[in-house]
Amino acid sequence: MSWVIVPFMEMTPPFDELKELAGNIMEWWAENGKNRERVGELILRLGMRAFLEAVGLEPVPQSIITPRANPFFFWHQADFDAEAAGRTYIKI
Amino acid sequence: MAEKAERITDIGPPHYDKFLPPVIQENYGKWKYHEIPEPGVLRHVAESGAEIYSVRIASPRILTTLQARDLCDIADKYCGGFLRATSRHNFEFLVSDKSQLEPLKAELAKRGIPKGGTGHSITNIVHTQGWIHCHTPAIDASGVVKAVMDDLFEYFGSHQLPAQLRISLACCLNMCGAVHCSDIAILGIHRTAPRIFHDKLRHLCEIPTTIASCPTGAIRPHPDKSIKSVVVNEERCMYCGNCYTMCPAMPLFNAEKGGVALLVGGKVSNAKHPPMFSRLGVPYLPNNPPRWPETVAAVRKIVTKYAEGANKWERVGEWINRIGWEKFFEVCDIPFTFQHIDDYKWAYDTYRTSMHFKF
Repeated sequence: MSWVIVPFMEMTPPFDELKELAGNIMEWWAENGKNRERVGELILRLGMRAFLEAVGLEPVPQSIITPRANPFFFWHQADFDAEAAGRTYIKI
Repeated sequence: MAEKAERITDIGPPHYDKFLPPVIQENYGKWKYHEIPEPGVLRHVAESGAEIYSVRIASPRILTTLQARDLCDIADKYCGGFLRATSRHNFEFLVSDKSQLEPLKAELAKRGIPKGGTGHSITNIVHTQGWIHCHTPAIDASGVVKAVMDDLFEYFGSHQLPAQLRISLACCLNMCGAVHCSDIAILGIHRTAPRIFHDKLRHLCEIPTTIASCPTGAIRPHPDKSIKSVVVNEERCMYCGNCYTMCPAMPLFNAEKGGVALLVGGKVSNAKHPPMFSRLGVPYLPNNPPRWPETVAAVRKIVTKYAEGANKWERVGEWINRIGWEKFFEVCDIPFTFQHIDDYKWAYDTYRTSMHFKF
């Protein structure tokens, strides 16, 4: 089954946003996919984060049914940089 | 042949029925119902009409011997010494004589021992060892619990929440605290790979067992054969601390990067819905002793929003399932991050495959 990655995109001609996204996805897949590997399998192999970052999408809660139940999540240098620049994970 | 005397061994604790109050022994297995006449007091009624009152009080998980003696003294005075500890580290005085109930409550009030933790309240926060004892914690345990519970104290001695709310703390994700089914789980997380002391490692550790300890296969022998040590593939490391358990020359604790994650919406009870796992709510809050203000504020915010939004009898997870996770993140002002998206092998079960979502 396909997954929601963009819950809403406004459709106005000439649909550049959509074309760009589709192009980015194909490009990332062509670059990273193994022989006979389809896009969904590639996302499962490299991770949703790698995919979203490569095609330039922000994480959105509409894309999931539930968040993760396991505590084994990864942190990149980009996260630490964003925290140094003031990112917080809950607004009080 | 003479009968042999029963062999006495020191294996195992004495049978618990030695410590039951007479009224429980007499009515064992024949209890009809219970009710909660007021916060902190339970009344159990047997088929015979006998009754017993349990007065539940707040107590820390780690008691001083002096405090334990005080509690025993109170129990001796008012309820024949029958005292029990609940699985969430509250104490209960088992009062068989109703006339002792009011004097006991007065004595507790005089000593400043709060009673509560029953019914639709926040009962004691269960927690792990933390800095008192454990070697891999990312955060303290009792310190955070004290700070959070001080803030939420109004919910301990009252029944003002929609349903009971269970908060637990585990100070690292190896989870001896088993907090994965709590309404709100406070979880210590490491966020950096272990440091390696190459000069010490060869004296302290067995390299093969250290390599074998890594669940993701991120540790390999040092590529320079003259250095008897290991290297860590930081991209693969999931900060679990197994290698530090095997090898003290690979400490994981990082005072700046380590911190707290909040997982929400779990429950153990079978009522209405099957048990549920807690799921990631807030991926990171700083480890900020001695009072952890960010963690305290975040927990309070979730509790407040839950109290406002949930229907009567709805646990946190049931409330979230009703309104949807996207709404939960919105009402609690939690920005959605990459960390929330599962990336475990079967993660696709959590990805949305339909248009049934809200904005």
